[in-house]
Amino acid sequence: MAAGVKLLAAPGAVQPQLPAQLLPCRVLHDGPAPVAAFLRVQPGSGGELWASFRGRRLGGRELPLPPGYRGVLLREGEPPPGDEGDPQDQWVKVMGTFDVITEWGADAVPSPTAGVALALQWGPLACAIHAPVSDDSDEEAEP
Amino acid sequence: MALARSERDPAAAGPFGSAVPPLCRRRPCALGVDEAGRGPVLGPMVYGICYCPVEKMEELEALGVADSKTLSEAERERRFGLLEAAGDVLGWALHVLPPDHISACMQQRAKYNLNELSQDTAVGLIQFALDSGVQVAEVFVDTVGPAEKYEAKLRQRFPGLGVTVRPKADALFPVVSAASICAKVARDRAVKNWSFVEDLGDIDRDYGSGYPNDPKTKEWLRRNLEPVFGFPRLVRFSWGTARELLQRGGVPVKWADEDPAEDPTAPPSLLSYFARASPRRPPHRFFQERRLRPLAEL
Repeated sequence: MAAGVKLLAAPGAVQPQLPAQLLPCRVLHDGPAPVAAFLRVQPGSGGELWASFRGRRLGGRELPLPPGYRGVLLREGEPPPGDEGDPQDQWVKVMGTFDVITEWGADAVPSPTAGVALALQWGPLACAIHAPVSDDSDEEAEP
Repeated sequence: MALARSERDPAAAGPFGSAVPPLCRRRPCALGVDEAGRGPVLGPMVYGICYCPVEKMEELEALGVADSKTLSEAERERRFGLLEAAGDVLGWALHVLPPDHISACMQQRAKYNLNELSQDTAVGLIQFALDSGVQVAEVFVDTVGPAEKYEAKLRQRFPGLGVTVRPKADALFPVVSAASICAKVARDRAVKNWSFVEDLGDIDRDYGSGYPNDPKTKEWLRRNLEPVFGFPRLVRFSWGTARELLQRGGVPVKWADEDPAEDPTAPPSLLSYFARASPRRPPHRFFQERRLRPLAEL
Protein backbone atom coordinates (compact mmCIF):
# COMPACT_ATOMS: atom_id res chain seq x y z
CA MET A 1 0.00 0.00 0.00
CA ALA A 2 1.10 3.58 -0.44
CA ALA A 3 3.59 5.12 1.95
CA GLY A 4 3.11 8.57 3.43
CA VAL A 5 3.80 12.02 2.06
CA LYS A 6 5.88 14.06 4.47
CA LEU A 7 6.34 17.79 4.51
CA LEU A 8 9.76 19.39 4.70
CA ALA A 9 8.86 22.40 6.73
CA ALA A 10 11.04 25.48 6.66
CA PRO A 11 10.13 27.20 9.91
CA GLY A 12 9.10 30.80 9.50
CA ALA A 13 9.16 30.69 5.73
CA VAL A 14 6.24 32.34 3.97
CA GLN A 15 5.23 30.67 0.75
CA PRO A 16 4.38 33.06 -2.05
CA GLN A 17 0.89 33.20 -3.51
CA LEU A 18 1.14 31.90 -7.05
CA PRO A 19 -1.25 32.32 -9.93
CA ALA A 20 -2.41 28.89 -11.06
CA GLN A 21 -3.42 28.63 -14.73
CA LEU A 22 -5.04 25.54 -16.15
CA LEU A 23 -4.60 25.45 -19.92
CA PRO A 24 -6.76 23.47 -22.35
CA CYS A 25 -3.70 21.76 -23.77
CA ARG A 26 -0.68 19.80 -22.67
CA VAL A 27 2.62 21.59 -22.81
CA LEU A 28 5.34 18.98 -22.98
CA HIS A 29 7.84 21.00 -21.05
CA ASP A 30 9.11 20.70 -17.53
CA GLY A 31 10.77 23.86 -16.33
CA PRO A 32 10.54 27.61 -16.14
CA ALA A 33 8.60 29.64 -18.69
CA PRO A 34 7.95 33.38 -19.05
CA VAL A 35 4.26 33.06 -18.15
CA ALA A 36 3.76 36.57 -16.81
CA ALA A 37 5.46 38.08 -19.84
CA PHE A 38 3.41 36.22 -22.43
CA LEU A 39 0.10 35.23 -20.86
CA ARG A 40 -1.53 38.65 -20.91
CA VAL A 41 -5.05 38.55 -19.58
CA GLN A 42 -7.73 41.00 -20.65
CA PRO A 43 -11.10 41.20 -18.89
CA GLY A 44 -14.19 40.79 -21.04
CA SER A 45 -17.43 42.67 -20.80
CA GLY A 46 -19.16 40.04 -18.70
CA GLY A 47 -16.54 39.30 -16.05
CA GLU A 48 -14.87 36.60 -18.10
CA LEU A 49 -11.17 36.67 -19.04
CA TRP A 50 -9.46 36.52 -22.40
CA ALA A 51 -5.95 35.52 -23.33
CA SER A 52 -4.10 33.89 -26.16
CA PHE A 53 -1.70 30.96 -26.31
CA ARG A 54 0.21 30.21 -29.49
CA GLY A 55 -2.38 32.12 -31.44
CA ARG A 56 -5.27 30.20 -30.03
CA ARG A 57 -7.90 32.26 -28.21
CA LEU A 58 -8.38 31.28 -24.58
CA GLY A 59 -11.48 32.11 -22.53
CA GLY A 60 -10.93 32.02 -18.79
CA ARG A 61 -12.79 31.82 -15.54
CA GLU A 62 -11.51 32.20 -12.02
CA LEU A 63 -12.41 29.27 -9.80
CA PRO A 64 -11.90 29.89 -6.11
CA LEU A 65 -11.06 26.75 -4.18
CA PRO A 66 -13.82 25.57 -1.84
CA PRO A 67 -13.75 26.86 1.76
CA GLY A 68 -11.23 25.00 3.88
CA TYR A 69 -9.11 24.04 0.88
CA ARG A 70 -5.83 25.49 -0.22
CA GLY A 71 -3.73 24.84 -3.30
CA VAL A 72 -0.06 24.05 -2.81
CA LEU A 73 2.82 23.79 -5.24
CA LEU A 74 5.08 21.01 -4.12
CA ARG A 75 8.55 20.04 -5.05
CA GLU A 76 10.14 16.69 -4.31
CA GLY A 77 12.92 16.77 -1.78
CA GLU A 78 15.27 14.51 0.13
CA PRO A 79 14.46 13.18 3.60
CA PRO A 80 15.98 15.31 6.36
CA PRO A 81 19.29 14.01 7.72
CA GLY A 82 18.83 11.50 10.43
CA ASP A 83 15.29 10.66 9.45
CA GLU A 84 14.33 7.14 10.42
CA GLY A 85 10.95 6.96 8.88
CA ASP A 86 9.68 4.60 6.24
CA PRO A 87 12.10 4.69 3.26
CA GLN A 88 9.06 4.62 1.00
CA ASP A 89 7.87 7.98 2.33
CA GLN A 90 7.80 10.83 -0.13
CA TRP A 91 9.25 14.12 1.07
CA VAL A 92 7.98 17.35 -0.41
CA LYS A 93 8.53 21.06 0.09
CA VAL A 94 5.85 23.71 -0.34
CA MET A 95 7.04 26.19 -2.96
CA GLY A 96 3.91 28.29 -3.11
CA THR A 97 0.20 28.36 -2.48
CA PHE A 98 -2.91 29.38 -4.39
CA ASP A 99 -6.56 29.90 -3.49
CA VAL A 100 -7.86 30.35 -7.00
CA ILE A 101 -7.42 28.42 -10.24
CA THR A 102 -7.86 30.25 -13.51
CA GLU A 103 -9.35 27.70 -15.84
CA TRP A 104 -8.87 28.36 -19.56
CA GLY A 105 -10.91 26.90 -22.40
CA ALA A 106 -9.92 26.73 -26.05
CA ASP A 107 -11.72 29.43 -28.08
CA ALA A 108 -14.22 30.23 -25.33
CA VAL A 109 -14.75 30.27 -21.57
CA PRO A 110 -15.19 26.70 -20.24
CA SER A 111 -18.73 25.68 -19.46
CA PRO A 112 -19.57 26.01 -15.75
CA THR A 113 -20.92 22.46 -15.87
CA ALA A 114 -17.65 20.92 -16.97
CA GLY A 115 -13.98 20.77 -16.15
CA VAL A 116 -12.37 21.74 -12.93
CA ALA A 117 -15.42 23.61 -11.59
CA LEU A 118 -17.25 20.32 -11.53
CA ALA A 119 -14.37 18.48 -9.88
CA LEU A 120 -14.11 21.10 -7.15
CA GLN A 121 -17.63 20.21 -6.06
CA TRP A 122 -16.21 17.12 -4.43
CA GLY A 123 -14.51 19.07 -1.65
CA PRO A 124 -17.60 20.50 0.07
CA LEU A 125 -19.53 17.34 -0.73
CA ALA A 126 -16.89 15.17 0.93
CA CYS A 127 -16.97 17.40 4.01
CA ALA A 128 -20.73 17.11 4.18
CA ILE A 129 -20.64 13.34 3.76
CA HIS A 130 -17.89 12.71 6.29
CA ALA A 131 -18.70 15.37 8.84
CA PRO A 132 -19.81 13.97 12.22
CA VAL A 133 -23.56 13.97 12.71
CA SER A 134 -24.59 15.97 15.73
CA ASP A 135 -26.13 13.97 18.63
CA ASP A 136 -28.64 16.63 19.49
CA SER A 137 -30.04 16.89 16.04
CA ASP A 138 -33.56 18.23 16.15
CA GLU A 139 -34.51 16.61 12.92
CA GLU A 140 -36.72 13.63 13.02
CA ALA A 141 -37.33 11.46 10.07
CA GLU A 142 -40.80 11.82 8.64
CA PRO A 143 -42.71 8.59 8.86
CA MET B 1 -18.34 31.84 -38.22
CA ALA B 2 -16.49 34.12 -35.87
CA LEU B 3 -17.30 34.15 -32.20
CA ALA B 4 -20.75 35.48 -31.40
CA ARG B 5 -20.98 39.14 -30.41
CA SER B 6 -21.68 38.30 -26.81
CA GLU B 7 -18.58 36.14 -26.56
CA ARG B 8 -16.35 38.39 -28.54
CA ASP B 9 -13.22 39.37 -26.76
CA PRO B 10 -11.84 42.90 -26.70
CA ALA B 11 -9.15 42.10 -29.28
CA ALA B 12 -11.55 42.03 -32.20
CA ALA B 13 -12.84 45.59 -32.46
CA GLY B 14 -15.22 46.57 -35.26
CA PRO B 15 -15.26 48.97 -38.20
CA PHE B 16 -14.69 52.69 -37.78
CA GLY B 17 -14.70 55.56 -40.23
CA SER B 18 -14.64 59.17 -41.14
CA ALA B 19 -17.65 61.38 -40.73
CA VAL B 20 -20.15 60.82 -43.56
CA PRO B 21 -20.16 63.84 -45.89
CA PRO B 22 -23.72 65.25 -46.08
CA LEU B 23 -23.55 64.96 -49.88
CA CYS B 24 -23.05 61.20 -49.54
CA ARG B 25 -26.31 60.91 -47.67
CA ARG B 26 -28.26 62.67 -50.40
CA ARG B 27 -26.69 61.47 -53.64
CA PRO B 28 -26.12 57.92 -54.94
CA CYS B 29 -22.58 56.86 -54.17
CA ALA B 30 -19.99 54.48 -55.54
CA LEU B 31 -18.16 52.51 -52.87
CA GLY B 32 -14.85 50.71 -53.31
CA VAL B 33 -13.50 47.87 -51.15
CA ASP B 34 -9.88 46.74 -50.87
CA GLU B 35 -7.56 45.23 -48.31
CA ALA B 36 -3.97 45.43 -47.16
CA GLY B 37 -1.79 42.98 -45.34
CA ARG B 38 -3.35 39.70 -46.47
CA GLY B 39 -0.08 37.90 -47.18
CA PRO B 40 2.31 38.94 -44.39
CA VAL B 41 2.98 36.72 -41.40
CA LEU B 42 3.11 39.77 -39.12
CA GLY B 43 0.62 42.41 -38.14
CA PRO B 44 -3.04 43.04 -38.90
CA MET B 45 -5.00 42.61 -42.10
CA VAL B 46 -6.90 45.77 -42.85
CA TYR B 47 -10.04 46.14 -44.93
CA GLY B 48 -10.88 49.60 -46.23
CA ILE B 49 -13.74 51.24 -48.06
CA CYS B 50 -13.95 54.59 -49.77
CA TYR B 51 -17.11 56.14 -51.14
CA CYS B 52 -18.15 59.28 -52.96
CA PRO B 53 -21.16 60.39 -55.02
CA VAL B 54 -21.12 58.88 -58.51
CA GLU B 55 -21.34 62.36 -60.00
CA LYS B 56 -18.16 63.37 -58.19
CA MET B 57 -16.07 60.53 -59.59
CA GLU B 58 -14.01 62.85 -61.81
CA GLU B 59 -13.00 64.87 -58.77
CA LEU B 60 -11.78 61.68 -57.14
CA GLU B 61 -9.84 60.67 -60.25
CA ALA B 62 -8.28 64.11 -60.36
CA LEU B 63 -6.73 63.49 -56.94
CA GLY B 64 -4.53 60.94 -58.67
CA VAL B 65 -5.00 58.05 -56.29
CA ALA B 66 -4.43 55.25 -58.78
CA ASP B 67 -2.81 51.90 -58.06
CA SER B 68 -1.08 52.07 -54.70
CA LYS B 69 0.94 48.86 -54.86
CA THR B 70 3.89 50.57 -56.49
CA LEU B 71 4.02 53.49 -54.11
CA SER B 72 6.32 54.11 -51.18
CA GLU B 73 4.93 54.34 -47.68
CA ALA B 74 5.54 58.10 -47.64
CA GLU B 75 3.72 58.56 -50.95
CA ARG B 76 0.76 56.53 -49.69
CA GLU B 77 0.56 58.75 -46.61
CA ARG B 78 0.58 61.80 -48.85
CA ARG B 79 -2.29 60.47 -50.96
CA PHE B 80 -4.25 59.53 -47.87
CA GLY B 81 -3.84 63.16 -46.84
CA LEU B 82 -5.42 64.17 -50.16
CA LEU B 83 -8.36 61.86 -49.52
CA GLU B 84 -8.87 63.28 -46.05
CA ALA B 85 -8.75 66.79 -47.45
CA ALA B 86 -11.58 65.89 -49.84
CA GLY B 87 -13.82 65.17 -46.88
CA ASP B 88 -16.74 67.13 -48.28
CA VAL B 89 -17.28 64.60 -51.07
CA LEU B 90 -15.47 61.53 -49.85
CA GLY B 91 -15.73 59.23 -46.86
CA TRP B 92 -13.82 56.16 -45.75
CA ALA B 93 -14.03 53.38 -43.20
CA LEU B 94 -11.69 50.67 -41.99
CA HIS B 95 -11.78 47.36 -40.21
CA VAL B 96 -8.50 46.31 -38.65
CA LEU B 97 -8.25 42.57 -38.06
CA PRO B 98 -5.54 42.03 -35.44
CA PRO B 99 -3.05 39.22 -36.14
CA ASP B 100 -4.12 37.26 -33.07
CA HIS B 101 -7.73 37.47 -34.22
CA ILE B 102 -6.69 36.01 -37.57
CA SER B 103 -4.72 33.28 -35.78
CA ALA B 104 -7.66 32.53 -33.50
CA CYS B 105 -10.22 32.34 -36.32
CA MET B 106 -8.08 30.01 -38.39
CA GLN B 107 -7.17 27.74 -35.47
CA GLN B 108 -10.45 27.52 -33.59
CA ARG B 109 -12.34 24.26 -33.46
CA ALA B 110 -14.96 25.45 -35.96
CA LYS B 111 -12.38 26.55 -38.49
CA TYR B 112 -12.98 29.94 -40.08
CA ASN B 113 -10.66 30.27 -43.04
CA LEU B 114 -9.01 33.42 -44.33
CA ASN B 115 -11.24 33.75 -47.41
CA GLU B 116 -14.43 33.56 -45.37
CA LEU B 117 -13.04 35.98 -42.82
CA SER B 118 -12.04 38.38 -45.60
CA GLN B 119 -15.38 38.29 -47.37
CA ASP B 120 -17.35 38.66 -44.14
CA THR B 121 -15.23 41.66 -43.21
CA ALA B 122 -15.92 43.29 -46.57
CA VAL B 123 -19.64 42.64 -46.16
CA GLY B 124 -19.46 44.14 -42.68
CA LEU B 125 -17.88 47.32 -43.99
CA ILE B 126 -20.45 47.78 -46.75
CA GLN B 127 -23.18 47.33 -44.15
CA PHE B 128 -21.39 49.78 -41.88
CA ALA B 129 -21.55 52.40 -44.64
CA LEU B 130 -25.24 51.72 -45.22
CA ASP B 131 -25.95 51.88 -41.48
CA SER B 132 -24.06 55.17 -41.28
CA GLY B 133 -26.44 56.70 -43.81
CA VAL B 134 -24.34 56.53 -46.98
CA GLN B 135 -26.53 56.22 -50.07
CA VAL B 136 -24.60 53.33 -51.55
CA ALA B 137 -25.70 52.62 -55.11
CA GLU B 138 -22.72 50.74 -56.55
CA VAL B 139 -20.04 48.61 -54.96
CA PHE B 140 -16.65 47.81 -56.53
CA VAL B 141 -14.57 45.11 -54.91
CA ASP B 142 -11.09 43.74 -55.43
CA THR B 143 -11.45 40.00 -55.52
CA VAL B 144 -10.55 37.41 -52.95
CA GLY B 145 -10.88 34.04 -54.63
CA PRO B 146 -13.03 33.49 -57.76
CA ALA B 147 -14.71 36.73 -58.86
CA GLU B 148 -18.07 35.35 -60.08
CA LYS B 149 -18.80 33.45 -56.91
CA TYR B 150 -17.89 36.43 -54.72
CA GLU B 151 -19.93 38.79 -56.90
CA ALA B 152 -22.96 36.49 -56.67
CA LYS B 153 -22.59 36.27 -52.90
CA LEU B 154 -22.47 40.07 -52.57
CA ARG B 155 -25.41 40.54 -54.95
CA GLN B 156 -27.45 38.20 -52.83
CA ARG B 157 -26.45 39.94 -49.64
CA PHE B 158 -27.11 43.43 -51.02
CA PRO B 159 -30.00 43.05 -53.45
CA GLY B 160 -30.53 46.77 -54.05
CA LEU B 161 -26.92 47.52 -55.03
CA GLY B 162 -24.91 47.25 -58.21
CA VAL B 163 -21.97 44.93 -57.50
CA THR B 164 -18.76 44.59 -59.50
CA VAL B 165 -16.03 42.22 -58.34
CA ARG B 166 -12.82 42.15 -60.35
CA PRO B 167 -9.24 41.08 -59.86
CA LYS B 168 -6.95 44.13 -59.77
CA ALA B 169 -9.98 46.32 -59.14
CA ASP B 170 -7.72 48.88 -57.51
CA ALA B 171 -6.25 49.60 -60.94
CA LEU B 172 -9.67 49.79 -62.60
CA PHE B 173 -11.88 51.85 -60.31
CA PRO B 174 -10.89 55.06 -58.52
CA VAL B 175 -12.98 54.27 -55.43
CA VAL B 176 -11.14 50.98 -55.05
CA SER B 177 -7.75 52.68 -55.48
CA ALA B 178 -8.78 55.11 -52.79
CA ALA B 179 -9.91 52.25 -50.53
CA SER B 180 -6.59 50.53 -51.18
CA ILE B 181 -4.69 53.59 -50.01
CA CYS B 182 -6.76 53.87 -46.84
CA ALA B 183 -6.20 50.19 -46.04
CA LYS B 184 -2.47 50.27 -46.76
CA VAL B 185 -1.88 53.42 -44.76
CA ALA B 186 -3.76 51.95 -41.83
CA ARG B 187 -1.75 48.76 -42.07
CA ASP B 188 1.58 50.63 -42.32
CA ARG B 189 0.72 52.67 -39.26
CA ALA B 190 -0.49 49.66 -37.28
CA VAL B 191 2.74 47.77 -37.89
CA LYS B 192 4.96 50.79 -37.26
CA ASN B 193 3.18 51.68 -34.04
CA TRP B 194 2.63 48.12 -32.90
CA SER B 195 2.38 48.01 -29.14
CA PHE B 196 3.62 44.68 -27.83
CA VAL B 197 1.22 43.42 -25.21
CA GLU B 198 3.91 41.00 -24.06
CA ASP B 199 6.28 42.21 -21.39
CA LEU B 200 9.49 41.54 -23.26
CA GLY B 201 11.53 44.68 -22.76
CA ASP B 202 13.05 46.14 -25.88
CA ILE B 203 12.05 43.93 -28.79
CA ASP B 204 13.85 44.80 -32.00
CA ARG B 205 11.54 45.88 -34.79
CA ASP B 206 13.73 44.76 -37.64
CA TYR B 207 10.92 42.74 -39.26
CA GLY B 208 11.77 43.37 -42.89
CA SER B 209 8.69 43.39 -45.13
CA GLY B 210 6.70 41.04 -42.89
CA TYR B 211 6.17 38.60 -45.75
CA PRO B 212 6.92 34.95 -44.98
CA ASN B 213 9.43 34.57 -47.81
CA ASP B 214 11.44 37.62 -46.75
CA PRO B 215 14.69 36.32 -45.18
CA LYS B 216 14.77 39.31 -42.83
CA THR B 217 11.30 38.46 -41.56
CA LYS B 218 12.24 34.81 -41.10
CA GLU B 219 15.32 35.84 -39.15
CA TRP B 220 13.22 38.06 -36.91
CA LEU B 221 10.86 35.16 -36.27
CA ARG B 222 13.76 32.86 -35.37
CA ARG B 223 15.25 35.49 -33.06
CA ASN B 224 11.95 36.01 -31.27
CA LEU B 225 10.88 32.41 -30.84
CA GLU B 226 10.24 31.48 -27.22
CA PRO B 227 10.07 27.68 -26.81
CA VAL B 228 6.85 27.53 -24.76
CA PHE B 229 4.88 30.55 -25.92
CA GLY B 230 6.18 30.82 -29.44
CA PHE B 231 5.94 34.35 -30.71
CA PRO B 232 4.42 37.65 -29.65
CA ARG B 233 0.83 38.27 -30.80
CA LEU B 234 2.16 40.35 -33.67
CA VAL B 235 2.73 37.03 -35.43
CA ARG B 236 0.05 35.06 -37.25
CA PHE B 237 0.48 31.64 -35.72
CA SER B 238 -1.82 30.11 -38.32
CA TRP B 239 0.67 30.90 -41.12
CA GLY B 240 2.69 27.96 -42.41
CA THR B 241 6.00 29.69 -41.79
CA ALA B 242 5.17 30.37 -38.16
CA ARG B 243 3.89 26.84 -37.60
CA GLU B 244 7.02 25.27 -39.04
CA LEU B 245 9.35 27.40 -36.95
CA LEU B 246 7.29 26.62 -33.86
CA GLN B 247 7.33 22.92 -34.67
CA ARG B 248 11.11 22.91 -34.97
CA GLY B 249 12.08 25.37 -32.25
CA GLY B 250 9.24 25.15 -29.75
CA VAL B 251 8.23 22.52 -27.22
CA PRO B 252 5.40 20.23 -28.30
CA VAL B 253 1.90 21.25 -27.26
CA LYS B 254 -1.08 18.92 -27.55
CA TRP B 255 -4.58 20.32 -27.84
CA ALA B 256 -7.47 17.99 -27.01
CA ASP B 257 -9.32 18.70 -30.25
CA GLU B 258 -6.28 18.49 -32.49
CA ASP B 259 -4.52 15.36 -31.39
CA PRO B 260 -5.97 11.87 -31.41
CA ALA B 261 -6.76 10.55 -27.94
CA GLU B 262 -4.50 7.53 -28.06
CA ASP B 263 -1.81 6.53 -30.43
CA PRO B 264 -2.56 2.86 -31.04
CA THR B 265 0.93 2.22 -32.39
CA ALA B 266 2.72 3.44 -29.27
CA PRO B 267 4.14 0.67 -27.05
CA PRO B 268 2.13 0.16 -23.84
CA SER B 269 3.61 1.66 -20.70
CA LEU B 270 5.63 -0.69 -18.49
CA LEU B 271 3.27 -0.05 -15.60
CA SER B 272 0.36 -1.43 -17.52
CA TYR B 273 1.89 -4.88 -17.09
CA PHE B 274 1.58 -4.55 -13.32
CA ALA B 275 -1.96 -3.23 -13.36
CA ARG B 276 -4.80 -5.16 -11.86
CA ALA B 277 -6.30 -7.52 -14.41
CA SER B 278 -9.76 -6.08 -13.91
CA PRO B 279 -11.05 -3.52 -11.43
CA ARG B 280 -13.21 -4.76 -8.58
CA ARG B 281 -15.82 -2.30 -9.67
CA PRO B 282 -15.68 0.90 -11.67
CA PRO B 283 -15.71 4.20 -9.80
CA HIS B 284 -19.06 5.88 -9.20
CA ARG B 285 -20.28 7.99 -12.13
CA PHE B 286 -19.92 11.11 -9.98
CA PHE B 287 -16.14 10.64 -10.03
CA GLN B 288 -15.96 9.56 -13.65
CA GLU B 289 -17.84 12.67 -14.78
CA ARG B 290 -15.43 14.82 -12.83
CA ARG B 291 -12.38 12.80 -13.84
CA LEU B 292 -11.51 12.32 -10.18
CA ARG B 293 -9.60 9.31 -9.00
CA PRO B 294 -7.93 8.52 -5.72
CA LEU B 295 -4.25 9.37 -5.63
CA ALA B 296 -2.25 7.07 -3.42
CA GLU B 297 1.07 8.79 -4.07
CA LEU B 298 2.34 11.92 -5.76
